[in-house]
Amino acid sequence: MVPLPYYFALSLTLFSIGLFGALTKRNAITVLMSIELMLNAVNINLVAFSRFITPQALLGHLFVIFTITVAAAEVAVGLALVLTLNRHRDSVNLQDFTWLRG
Amino acid sequence: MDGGAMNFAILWPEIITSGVGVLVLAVGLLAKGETLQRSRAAAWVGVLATVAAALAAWNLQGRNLTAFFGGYRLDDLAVFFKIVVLLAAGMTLLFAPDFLVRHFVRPSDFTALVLFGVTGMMLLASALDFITLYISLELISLSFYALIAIQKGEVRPAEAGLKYLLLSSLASAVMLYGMSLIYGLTGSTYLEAIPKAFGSGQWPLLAGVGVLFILAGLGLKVYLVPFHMWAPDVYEGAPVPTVAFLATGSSAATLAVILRLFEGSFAAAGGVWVPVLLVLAIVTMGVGNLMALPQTNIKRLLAYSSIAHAGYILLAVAAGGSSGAAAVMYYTLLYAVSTIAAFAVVSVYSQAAGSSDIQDLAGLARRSPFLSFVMLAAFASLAGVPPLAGFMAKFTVFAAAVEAGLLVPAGLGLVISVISIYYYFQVIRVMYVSEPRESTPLTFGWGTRVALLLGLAGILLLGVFPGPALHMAQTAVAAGLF
Amino acid sequence: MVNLAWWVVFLPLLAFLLISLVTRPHRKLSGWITILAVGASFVLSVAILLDMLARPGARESAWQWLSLGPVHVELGVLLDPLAAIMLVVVTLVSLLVQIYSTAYMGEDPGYSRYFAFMGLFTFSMLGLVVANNYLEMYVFWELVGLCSYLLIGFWYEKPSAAAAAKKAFVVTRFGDFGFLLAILLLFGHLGTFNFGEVAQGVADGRLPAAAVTAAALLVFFGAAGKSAQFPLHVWLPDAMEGPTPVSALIHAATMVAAGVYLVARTYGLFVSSAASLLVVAYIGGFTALFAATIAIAQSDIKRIVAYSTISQLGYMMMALGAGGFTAGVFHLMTHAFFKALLFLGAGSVILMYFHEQNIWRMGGLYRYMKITAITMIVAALANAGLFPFAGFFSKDEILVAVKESGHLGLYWIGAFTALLTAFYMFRLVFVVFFGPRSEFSPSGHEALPDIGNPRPAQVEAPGAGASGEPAVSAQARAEADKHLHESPAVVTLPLMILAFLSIVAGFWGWPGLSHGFGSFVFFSGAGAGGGAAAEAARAAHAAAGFDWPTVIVSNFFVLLGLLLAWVLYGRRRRAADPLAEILGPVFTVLEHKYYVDEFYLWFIRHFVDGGAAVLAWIDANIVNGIANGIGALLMGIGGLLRLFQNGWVQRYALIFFIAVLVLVAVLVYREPALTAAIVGGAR
Repeated sequence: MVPLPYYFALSLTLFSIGLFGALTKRNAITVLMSIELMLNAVNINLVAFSRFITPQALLGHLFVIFTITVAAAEVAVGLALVLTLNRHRDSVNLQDFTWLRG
Repeated sequence: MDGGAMNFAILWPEIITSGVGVLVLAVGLLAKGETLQRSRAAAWVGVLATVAAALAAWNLQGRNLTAFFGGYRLDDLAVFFKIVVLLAAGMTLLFAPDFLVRHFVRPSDFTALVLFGVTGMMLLASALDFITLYISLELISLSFYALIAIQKGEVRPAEAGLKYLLLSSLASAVMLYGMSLIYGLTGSTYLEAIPKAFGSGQWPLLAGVGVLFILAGLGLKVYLVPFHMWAPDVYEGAPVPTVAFLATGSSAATLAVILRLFEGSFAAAGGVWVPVLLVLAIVTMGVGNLMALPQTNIKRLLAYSSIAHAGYILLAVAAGGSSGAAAVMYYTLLYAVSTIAAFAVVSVYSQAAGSSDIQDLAGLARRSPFLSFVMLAAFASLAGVPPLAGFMAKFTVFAAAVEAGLLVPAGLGLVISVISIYYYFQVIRVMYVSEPRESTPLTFGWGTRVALLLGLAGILLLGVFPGPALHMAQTAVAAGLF
Repeated sequence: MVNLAWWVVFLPLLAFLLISLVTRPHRKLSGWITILAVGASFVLSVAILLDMLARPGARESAWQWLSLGPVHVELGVLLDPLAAIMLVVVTLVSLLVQIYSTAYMGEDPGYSRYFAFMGLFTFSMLGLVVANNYLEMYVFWELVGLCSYLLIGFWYEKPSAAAAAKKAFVVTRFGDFGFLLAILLLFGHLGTFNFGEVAQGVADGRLPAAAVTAAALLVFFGAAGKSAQFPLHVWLPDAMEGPTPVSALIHAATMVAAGVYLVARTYGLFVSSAASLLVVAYIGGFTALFAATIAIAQSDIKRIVAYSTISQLGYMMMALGAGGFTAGVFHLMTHAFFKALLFLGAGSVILMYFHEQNIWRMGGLYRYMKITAITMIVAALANAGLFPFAGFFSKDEILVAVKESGHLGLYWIGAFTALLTAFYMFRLVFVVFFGPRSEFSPSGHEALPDIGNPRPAQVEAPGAGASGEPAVSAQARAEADKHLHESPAVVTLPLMILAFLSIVAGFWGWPGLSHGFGSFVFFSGAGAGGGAAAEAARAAHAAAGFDWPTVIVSNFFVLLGLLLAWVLYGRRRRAADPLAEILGPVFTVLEHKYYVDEFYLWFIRHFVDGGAAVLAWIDANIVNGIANGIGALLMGIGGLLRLFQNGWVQRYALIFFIAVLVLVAVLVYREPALTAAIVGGAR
């Protein structure tokens, strides 16, 4: 079996990639996807810890089911908002959405 | 901490709000020919639901139970915060329909979302493990994404909603990562696992990072600078009733969790966290008050005011001890009452003026003496003028800080809070001194009137008779947080 | 019974709230609400007093108002014979004044506002009476001051009224500051605000003697401000700018007596410090004489009564200072009746007599308003202290108390003041109600110039009145006389009730009476152990009959004063003051109230204003500069910070992560400490 540190490293990498994308990509949909990446990094962490640290309780698995569900809901709402904004501005560039500032 | 039983009796407040929420949503979707005006009834149903839930919560006082496998805690602290968030929801639902109907939003949709949000807040106040905490936090956030962007086809609310969604889900991801670290270190998802994570002694840095990540996630909800940046934009863009509820309920519920963390989990490690929190509290006060100064939009001004008040509350969190915790609770209550009263006034005048510029408040005293009096009371209370509630709240906070020996932060806080008097009274001056641009009297419905009266009564009574509320907070703290 | 007291206090507040929030547009209703609320308070107060008479003793009920660490503040009610008497006096006078006001203020556009303020005042005064601790009393103390300010300045469009209101506020606030210092001093030493606990602490000697004296003197300073004792008396005569019923209620019967009440309430402090008692006695005695001499040379009917009030308050203070607790409180009660009556009677005259207040424009009014005149005479006799009117009994007790304390100088001052009192009271009665109508009497509508006290020489000059004003023709006077008539029943009824009380109230204090006033209200000594001695003293006092030498001396002086007044004013032909000729320049000094106001003005102009000018310059050029600079700086910082808030959401996210990283860096930097603290703490 693959040892725990590998999973942890994978998760950390994934989280960082997601974070980088969320901070640098201009496209709102890409940013949403990047955040999904970060959440998936968390999921890997949780499942791996669950397997290695509490193999009997499956606590991490339980947690993951919730995070996946919530993340799906979040993306759904996010896409709806992006669509609304796109209709007004004909753009999905986050730098265009700066009416509110100061 | 075994309390494994599925004790549904202690869930009555949440059952009532979520049940009525589903009902209102279903009726709103299925009812044929439902007009905007008829849908106002839904808001009253929502108000009744919050009252019923508050009564149910009141009945649960003094229980100190842990249930649902240790994930849910019913103690007086939870009850106090449940009542605060229900009050926020109820008052919001009272004045919201006037605003919503004017903006072609069906009050039934709004009501259902507020009830879901308040359910999440109540759960959060009772959360004792990461899973409950995360789910209730997300329930709140999801309700607010929709509440913020509820004005269909309008661009500013949509922008505000997207900003809140992106930042909030980013913060959630960070918080979850922190939680997964703590879980990995201890094999437990309970809040009490946090000290254990340190206790294992193997990876103190990893445990510290985990805690910091969790704090950052929670800090976003309570306007902790520098995690606060979403607030002004969202306040400005979102519909007024949404902002009123967001400003009060969401941060109140999160403060319950923060209190549990700092009074319970971190108590042993206070020496490390308190300086960090103190610095953040002072920075929060400073940034909030300073950035409020140049504002010209009343909603933005109130956003920075919320940030500044978060600073005072966090000072009390840092002070800790029973008086610190009691001060946090009392402050949260008074802040909720004063802020919602102010937003109720903003809601009425901004509909009439079509904007929420401070300049449009000119001559409000002549157009509606009652409205301007409520605003005067709310702002004077927020500015901390005796004998209003805000004064007593600031007094308890600074007294707690002094009692904890935090003399320098308390002094700094006092100096910074002086700034706030300027911008609050700037608004009052505009209301009472400036010439009105138009002189039509402002009208508003009964729900708004009740909300305004409730706010006014709260501001006066909590200030003159702080005893009962303070006592409730003190006994709640004395009963223990775990 | 204690719980009833809450209702007594809060009913008038309810009236205030109801009027100001709901019934303000409905004038008649607003008036009735206050009358009803105060009436109910009065009935409850009587019930409390009867209960207290049946079972004397102190009862306390308190509610924890605020508890912050070691500081416990209560909101409580303390009922004892002293408070019970005061409750009845305040509610009764207030009730009568409210009824009277429906006529007096009937035409006023601010009718509802007036009754709202009166309700608020009555609430504050009752709260002051039942307060069970220093802080609570202070809160109500300030509230009555605020109400007094609002009511003196009720006709705020009149500049003199606005100025008088401000003066009253500033001068009494000056005294209040002393009171506050006393409270802080006592709290600092004893850690409590409660009257009983403070008295116990003082009796147990937990306070150094110097601190007791300081606290007592500071309390007295506050009391002197409210009760217009020299040198803080200057505000009370000016306060007459307010409506006359307000003067009757606030500036005669109740609020100005609050200072006396305060000294009585905190008497434990004073008896523990001989020096403070001495100060109280001498300031009181001096004020009594000082104000009485001024009163004989005033021309404004309300100001004469106002100086009389100051003088009588001086009597009360003198009694308390001489150890005559019962005498002082008794005089407080009887004085409330006859002084309210004097003001209401004066108001009745003013109301009917074209709002004229100068007594030299009156004369012979007895013919037109018999009820007002007779009740005023009763009040004058009571105020002068002639047997068997109420003032006699209480003033006599004061003189006896002073005599027993051995301050013979004060005794003769008191006796001589009684002569002056009788003199100035009957000067007023004779000039206003008897003799011929004045040559300067108003003919109706236009306001007349102030003629002060006309000198005989001026009037003797043919065809010209004082200050060159031509005498009004007999024809015009006859025309105006047709409008003269007695005031309506709502005015005369309160007058008659108060007159009745001014006659009979004194008999309660008949020396040696088995259930007399003295066996009900007395100082029971501070704390444990004081009771027995006080009991013995009280028994001895109650057994004693009249002190005949004092009775004879005081009545002789009163009759002498009355006779002098008759000789000078009872037989006068013209509206001129013969005393002005007899006393010459002295009269002018008295007329100008010893130039105290002028002295204060001069002092303020030369010293305070000079200092203020320097400060103002510093303020304008240095402080303001700094303040503006700071303001601009803060605004600039705020503006700079706004640049971060550029609306781009990913900027916000970036700042979020930078912050997290910085915090992690802090954590790493502090890691050794962190590990130690946490590991140590958790194990």
